[in-house]
Amino acid sequence: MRGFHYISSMREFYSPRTPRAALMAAEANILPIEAFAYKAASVKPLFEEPYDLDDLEQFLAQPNLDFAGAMMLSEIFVAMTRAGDKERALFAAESLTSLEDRWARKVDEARRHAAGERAERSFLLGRSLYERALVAGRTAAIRDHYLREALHFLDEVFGSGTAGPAFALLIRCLVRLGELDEAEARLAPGLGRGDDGEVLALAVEIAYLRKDVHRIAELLHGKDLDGLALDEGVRGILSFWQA
Amino acid sequence: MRVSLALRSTEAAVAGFAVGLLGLFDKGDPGFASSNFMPQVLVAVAVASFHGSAAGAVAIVAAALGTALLPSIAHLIGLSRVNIDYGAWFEAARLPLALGMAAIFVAGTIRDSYAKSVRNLLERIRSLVRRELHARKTNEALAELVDELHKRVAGQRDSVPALYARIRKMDSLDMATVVKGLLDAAVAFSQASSALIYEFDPISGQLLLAATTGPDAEPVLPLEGSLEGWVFRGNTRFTLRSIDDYLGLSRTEAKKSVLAFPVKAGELPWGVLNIREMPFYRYNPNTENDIAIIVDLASAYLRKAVEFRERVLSHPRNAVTGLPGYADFLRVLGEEVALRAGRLISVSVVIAEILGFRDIVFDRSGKDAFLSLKRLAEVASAGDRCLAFHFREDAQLVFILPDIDRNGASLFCLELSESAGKAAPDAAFGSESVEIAFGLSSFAGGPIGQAEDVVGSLIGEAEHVLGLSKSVFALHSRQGEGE
Repeated sequence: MRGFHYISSMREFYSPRTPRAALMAAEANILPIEAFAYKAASVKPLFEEPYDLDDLEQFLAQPNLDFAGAMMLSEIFVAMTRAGDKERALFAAESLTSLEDRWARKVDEARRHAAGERAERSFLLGRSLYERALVAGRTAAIRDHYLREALHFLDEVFGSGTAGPAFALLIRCLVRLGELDEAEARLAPGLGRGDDGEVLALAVEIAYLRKDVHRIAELLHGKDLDGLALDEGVRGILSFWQA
Repeated sequence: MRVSLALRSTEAAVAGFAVGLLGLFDKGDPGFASSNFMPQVLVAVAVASFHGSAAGAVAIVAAALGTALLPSIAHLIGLSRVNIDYGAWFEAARLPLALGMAAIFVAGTIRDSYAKSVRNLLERIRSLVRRELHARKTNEALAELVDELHKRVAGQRDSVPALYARIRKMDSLDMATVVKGLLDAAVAFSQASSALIYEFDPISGQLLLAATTGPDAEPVLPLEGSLEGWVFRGNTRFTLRSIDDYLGLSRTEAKKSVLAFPVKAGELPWGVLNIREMPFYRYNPNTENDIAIIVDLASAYLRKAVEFRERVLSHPRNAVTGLPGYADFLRVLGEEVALRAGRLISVSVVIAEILGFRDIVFDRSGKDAFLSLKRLAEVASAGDRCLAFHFREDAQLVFILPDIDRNGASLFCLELSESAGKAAPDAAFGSESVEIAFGLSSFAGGPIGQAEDVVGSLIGEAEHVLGLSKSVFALHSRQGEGE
């Protein structure tokens, strides 16, 4: 019953915003340990409507916010700007600006990054520009501008490649730009080797975007997906198409 | 610092011998037999105090041996001419030795227990420090784990609460709201960049665009020769992966969709949801099932909206307010009463009259006055709890509140009064506050003979209450003028 006692009297206590804060408060004897359990078990999806501004703000304030998190926030903020509530729309617009600024700074940092080899620098800059394009690119013109810039840097160094993360990023830029023929042509040599899971997944994605299920079947025919280095989620999707 | 037993014993032995060595300087009495105190005993007690009883015992034995042997050894090797009188020495040492042994035991025991307690304390502190370090590491790991779980839960797109929140947004009598809610939910769960909803129009026999997101879409589609028509006619779900399994569907049309679902309003086919473009990584059986669930759940709301449209909105409505009139009110109230008769499910009627409606007409315009009625109806219908109609007089609206009893109707009046008060600065209400008189009545859902009789009595009762309410307002206003 100790936990319920905390819940019934929680207004008398300090109210932590995150489970980590609750844990630290419990360590410092400011809160009972039940506060941590309660907070950790009370996390709700950010996508749940009505959107919780405190949760969104706290998620946005994370110093190590990753690209996937930023994309998720961006999607929610864009939806909020379209909603009727002006205050919430303003909050969303400001948050979007803050998010875009963070990725703009990442690009600047990548530009200034002098250390390392040329290939490493180009990959860093290309990736930052690609991420910025997707985080900040609510309009096609802005998105395409950054994607083309990313493509330029990646193409300079990895244009003749056939595999690897930088090459995959280059192909993704082409796919996002809608240049499917070009992307497919560049994938062909790597695809011929048949040992690169990422190249295969990109080729299948291009065929999917063309809604060409026969090409997908052709690409996946006889392929041992377990033998390829693939992310678990991607393997699941390819298996779905292969079945 | 811990000192080993061997080292302590050595130190004790050295200290004891040192006393014997000291005795060599007193050639007449190397055993200190004539002294008032015996240093051999004192040194042993001191050693016992520092190193414990065992070391004290070693010290006193070493002192005795040193005192007994060193003078003779020194004499033998010719270093010193020292003679010791062993008899006198033994005689003199008897009492100090006994006392010394006791003192060594006491001092040694005190020292040993002290050392033991210090040792225990140190061990406890070490154990606490170890546990604290362990707890700190565990906490750090826990915090990281919680952060990760927090991130994963926060990022969940297809959770049940998120689905419920989306479904709730479809709960409306307004068809556009229901359709937009369905499209938004499908887009949220599929991350589609292009999706459309078509409604079947039985008059033209075509599919009409009801909602869209993404690039422009055809406003009208034929039932024959379109993917959407194929889905609607066959009441069949389309999925890109199974494109070869669909007979009678042209390849060109099939490429216009990734997923398409027939949409029903209740049990009857209503339209089609077509997801034209969605990310490769979202196209999987889970997403397909999620959207199928959304479409299934939407059918009940679509049915409600379709029924409302057919029962209410398809009839002539006021040009300014867009609300149906008194005749429609009578018809719908009769249907609602008949639906609940014998089921003990309530239906209530609330008449709302804007006081000073004539003043608004004369001070501003007739249109402004009707706009204030429209605004009042919008405020009242915000939660989709009621159906709004014009009543007998221009200044009056009437609301049917399905499934709400008299108490709920009273609460509705209070909330409406408050909401209208808050909305008063709105242009539609003018700059002055609007006073509203209410009349209400309720049918508890008991058995009835004729629905018309119940409708008549409900209206009569509500009008009676409205009359009383207006009298109270008039009385208050006269009292205000008198003051």
